[in-house]
Amino acid sequence: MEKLIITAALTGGEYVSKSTTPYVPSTTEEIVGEVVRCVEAGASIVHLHAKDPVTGEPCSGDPNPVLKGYVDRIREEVDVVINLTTGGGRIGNPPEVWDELVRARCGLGQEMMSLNMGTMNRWAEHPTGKIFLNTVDMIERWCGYMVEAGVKPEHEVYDTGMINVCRQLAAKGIVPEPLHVQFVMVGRTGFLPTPKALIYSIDQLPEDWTWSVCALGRHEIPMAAFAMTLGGHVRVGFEDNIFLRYGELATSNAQLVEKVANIAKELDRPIATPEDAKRMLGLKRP
Amino acid sequence: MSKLIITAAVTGGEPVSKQMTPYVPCSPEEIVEEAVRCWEAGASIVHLHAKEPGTGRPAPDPNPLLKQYIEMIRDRCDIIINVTTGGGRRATAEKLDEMIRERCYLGQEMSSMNMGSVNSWVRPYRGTFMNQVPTIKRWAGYMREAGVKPELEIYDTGMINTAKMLAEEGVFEEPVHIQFVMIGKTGISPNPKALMYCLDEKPESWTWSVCALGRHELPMGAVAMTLGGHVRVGFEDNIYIRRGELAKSNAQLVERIVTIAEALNIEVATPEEAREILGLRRR
Repeated sequence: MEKLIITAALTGGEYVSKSTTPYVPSTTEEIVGEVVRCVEAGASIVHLHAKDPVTGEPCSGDPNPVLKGYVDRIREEVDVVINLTTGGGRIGNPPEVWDELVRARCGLGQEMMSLNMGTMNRWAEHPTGKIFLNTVDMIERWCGYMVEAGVKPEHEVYDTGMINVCRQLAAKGIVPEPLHVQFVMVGRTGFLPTPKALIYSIDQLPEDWTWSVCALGRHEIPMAAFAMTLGGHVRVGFEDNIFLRYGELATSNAQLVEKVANIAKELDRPIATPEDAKRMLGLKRP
Repeated sequence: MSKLIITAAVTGGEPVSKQMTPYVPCSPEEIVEEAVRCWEAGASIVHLHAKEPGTGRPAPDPNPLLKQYIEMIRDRCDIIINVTTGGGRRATAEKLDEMIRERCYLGQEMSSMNMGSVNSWVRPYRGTFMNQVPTIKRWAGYMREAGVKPELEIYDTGMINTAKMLAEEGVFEEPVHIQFVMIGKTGISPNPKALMYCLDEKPESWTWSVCALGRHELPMGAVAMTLGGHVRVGFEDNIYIRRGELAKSNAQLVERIVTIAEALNIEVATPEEAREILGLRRR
């Protein structure tokens, strides 16, 4: 079986702030420290959102300079694949501005970027409303920006129908194959975090594509264990789960990385270094 | 196995106009004639959108037309009428809401209810089909008050989760009836494997039906009926009777499903039997 790529989604997305957990890294130095710890624990990719340094909420205004700061500092400290979000900048900006932000964000020096593969409802309250909007036009355009910049998209699939969208992007030649897909098992209005849902999903993927799983809350570690037995890769971190076990907050993302690294070791699945991950995913150096 | 409920979606949704097929019924008289033909062929439910009489395009003010269709159909046969919650979407949110509330009182027994937001790939409707959770809850409330049974339209597998959570909250009354709308591209793939997965996620007691687009319509109808499901056919999903040949009437598509059912010894439900199966209130 291929080596296991562990992604650490360590900053949290829009739902995670200092008020959710005091352990979420928020300043650039906290984030860089957390990246180093996660890499030491076995992560080969870090997935980053831009944070307000004090509150840990999504940074207001243009996230790009903040993200650029993270990328530059991480590069000084450690070898790791950097995967930046396409989220952020949605609030208060018209679609054109937003579009321009994402285009500019492709050139911050990262190897990868997340690309949301469709529109779905949100169950919970959210500052951008009850619909998570990612139209086909946006997907095609943003995918084009990434490919042009030599950044590999990580296709975020929130429901099974979005696998079809991935296949069509590939069929239309908008993105070169093999694609790398992240199954984001959000439950409620999307993907169920269950083995059955995952088995069905991987059955829909072309053989040579790579895939990873992240599941929310208490499903994070069990679904990761399940994914790795099937040859998939895993993502853990505060973006999806802030608890180490029931009722106990993780004090670092690295604890979650260690957990899945330990499971992999017991399963004799070797863990990919950042160099391995670059080779396996066909990443270009920025 | 329960008897087979066949729904005829005769008018087509937004994309189906006279330009696409000259056989799409558009005037109230044409639509009623088509509903009666489908009923004679074996359909127990007719699903209706409001059409602009000349062109077959969506009518901007759907309710008066829908009311007219319903009254005229009632005069001719006892088919169950299922009215769309689509149409009128160019109105403001408040206007649309009011329009949907009023639409629950046109005399139909069922209304369709879209269970989530999903992208649409195909132009000119390329964009996003938005149906957020608070809207679903509100419209479900209107239907409950009016005694209209919702048919939950499932476009992707996550919407089954949404339906289950809302049913638990009491937003939908048991027994729930769902329609798997196998749109492919941005949603559920029109293949047996996808259907098996969906059925596995669905509560045992819920009744279900399948519709699939284009050339997948009849094969997926056949698969569904062997699994104890119900079937929807009609111009809304498919305008061809076979490759390259337009169907001249929705009833031809109904007839094909009936023929397959007969060959499988599956009995076709009358409207009365369908009411029994779906737990509809008599009107």
